[in-house]
Amino acid sequence: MYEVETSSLMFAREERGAETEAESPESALVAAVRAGDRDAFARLYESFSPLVHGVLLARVPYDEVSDLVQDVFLVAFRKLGSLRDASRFGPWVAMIARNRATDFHRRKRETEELREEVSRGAGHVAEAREALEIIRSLPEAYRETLVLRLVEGMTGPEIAGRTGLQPASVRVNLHRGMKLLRERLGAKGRKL
Amino acid sequence: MSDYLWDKSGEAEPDVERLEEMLGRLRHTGRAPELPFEVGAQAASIELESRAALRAGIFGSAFFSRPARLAAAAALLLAVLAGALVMLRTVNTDGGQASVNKEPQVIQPQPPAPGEVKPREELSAPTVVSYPPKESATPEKLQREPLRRNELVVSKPPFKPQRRAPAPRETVARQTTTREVKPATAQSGVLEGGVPDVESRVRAKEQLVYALRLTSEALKEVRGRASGVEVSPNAFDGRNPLR
Repeated sequence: MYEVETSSLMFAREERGAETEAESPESALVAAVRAGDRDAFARLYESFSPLVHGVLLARVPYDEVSDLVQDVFLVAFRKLGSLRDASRFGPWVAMIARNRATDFHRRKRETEELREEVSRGAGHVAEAREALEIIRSLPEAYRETLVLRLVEGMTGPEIAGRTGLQPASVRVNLHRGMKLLRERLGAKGRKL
Repeated sequence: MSDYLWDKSGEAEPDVERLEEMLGRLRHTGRAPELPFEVGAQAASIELESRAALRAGIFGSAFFSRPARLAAAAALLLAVLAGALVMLRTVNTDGGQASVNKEPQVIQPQPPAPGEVKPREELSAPTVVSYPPKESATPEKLQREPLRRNELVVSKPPFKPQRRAPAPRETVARQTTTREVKPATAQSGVLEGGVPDVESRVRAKEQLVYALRLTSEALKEVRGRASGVEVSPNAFDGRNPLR
């Protein structure tokens, strides 16, 4: 049995002090969006859509992710008034994405697997989706970090900064998850 | 430990690079969703609305609309009217003081006339059977305190047999020494411990059958009159077997 780093799910609120709240770029963007600036919303989307996409990709089928990303940002836009600390937009929108993924599985549990099977094609994309399936079979703490690192191309410090996780936890999850992924890929006969 | 997996620094790990290249094809490339105008206006006005609500209080905010205000005012008016009615009623009736000072009326039950059939309530009322009173008891005292320790109450249902565990011999002996046990007689109608004897049971049963027959005859007559059909008389002659 693999040991899961559950502490990584805890937000590091104390370490990131109040100094980040005032001058962080997302705080300015959130304030601009609240004031009705639509371009600021587009920039906010550009900055945080990889995070939302990765969070969703670790949980729901690939074909559904694009629509769900749009849904998550619309929900975030509607509820932006309830976000107290604007510097924590990343953890906040990631939590919305996790809740949306849970909601998706609650509603479409029956059709999900069928759609996944039908839409599986050939070529490089099929190979990538097969590897993604293996990542999605890993424990939750590893799968989200690995998707953000390997699919979205974010570095460890970026993952920690966007998700609000402890950098040490992200580091541990990356290395343990990568080790587990190598074992699973080797067991399936795939050579990297 | 290589840092490439952590921050892409140092020497690249071949398997990680291969996975990055392969899985990078699934990277998100979408554009920001088009915001509907009303959604944008709603989000922009969230803060202003909440501040206005705090300034104006709950009655002045948008959360408390005009119909809700009217309903609240109507409810308040009704409450005031109800309170005024209660006050007026209290003043007119002297606050119920006259009712408090009034002497209570005691309704004495009338004994049934001889030959009259007892109503149902009296038939099922508990029967009180008394032992002979002590010499010191006077009739006035007995009338004032009708139920004492030396009386047995046969409660409803009166004729239901009850299984009683046989009393130990020592208890019986003590009872005989402290109190004189009366044998069953036709006059008292009960055995020791309040169980009615056979004759009383038979009489009660005949009384019940007689009452049921009377009721049945009356119902039959009413039904015949209502439907206009003459009902043939049966063998019941209306005679009371207990007389």
